Amino acid sequence: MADTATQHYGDDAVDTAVLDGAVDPYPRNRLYVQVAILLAVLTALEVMVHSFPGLFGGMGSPGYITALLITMFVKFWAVGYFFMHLKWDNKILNRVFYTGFILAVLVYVAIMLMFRLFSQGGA
Amino acid sequence: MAETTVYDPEVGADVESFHPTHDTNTGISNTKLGMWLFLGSECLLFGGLITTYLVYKYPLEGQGPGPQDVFDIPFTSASSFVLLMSSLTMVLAVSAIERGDHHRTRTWLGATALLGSAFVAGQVYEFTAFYNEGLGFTTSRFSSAFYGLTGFHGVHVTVGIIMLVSLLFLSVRGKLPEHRSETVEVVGLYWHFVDLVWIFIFAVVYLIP
Repeated sequence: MADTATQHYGDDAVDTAVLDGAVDPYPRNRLYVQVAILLAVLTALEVMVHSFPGLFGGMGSPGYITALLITMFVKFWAVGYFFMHLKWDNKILNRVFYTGFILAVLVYVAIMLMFRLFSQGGA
Repeated sequence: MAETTVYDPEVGADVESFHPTHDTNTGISNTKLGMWLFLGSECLLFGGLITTYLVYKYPLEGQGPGPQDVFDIPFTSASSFVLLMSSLTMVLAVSAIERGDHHRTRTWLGATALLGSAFVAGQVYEFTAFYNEGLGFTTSRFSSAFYGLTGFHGVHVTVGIIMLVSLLFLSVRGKLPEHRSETVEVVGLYWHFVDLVWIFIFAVVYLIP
């Protein structure tokens, strides 16, 4: 088992035989640190966007909101994909999680439709 | 658990599977699948809370301060960074227990609990500062939605800290061998989810006007 892991990731490989549902060997710690650095950089970028909104078209402009949404979703993806092992785990777990996430987005859309679009249309 | 074989295209034959599977329909342990189902349902809970906040984020006339009057972005950014780094220490704890490195497991679990505690302490400080500025829980619809959302998240972080400290005690007492590493992994999933939720809250609640 450990030999198989070594073939994939070298001497620093992790024997993850005890982890259930995983379909690939797990990554090394170096990758985790790289992801954490990416997250820190993206957080700094978010703060920069907020501190200098003029660079992105002004506070609340489409450019400003788009920049923040992109950084937010990249951070969301990085944590889920690498730290929560969705990249390597059984795809059923991806479906379970993203089903809940998509339902949550639908709840958001439904409520926004009720409170914003419908009321504005009525007005 | 059951050993299985899979076809390896590089070898050109069936080889022993790298990961043994559980004797369940999915091949995933019930504990892990249960945690993922729980996290899926938690998406709905926080989706509802975030949406409620967005609907009520602007207080009515004369109902006290609004979001841009009270938020301290540099302070909250530091808190966000602390919580993000706690995700790193958590995943390092999972990695350590898989290797059977109990000393590092305890170190990283303790670091995660400490970083989580720092985040909660920051939230308590923030709430106190807001209250002193005249923003109580019932001051306005904004304050109720804000405290409801961030308070729920804070409770989740606190529950996570309790689980981490419990794991730490189990490890110190020698009751967390590497063959139970899935326990640490499942707690880690919960912790990372709490981090995921904060990534949304930080951007949507604090940064986007």
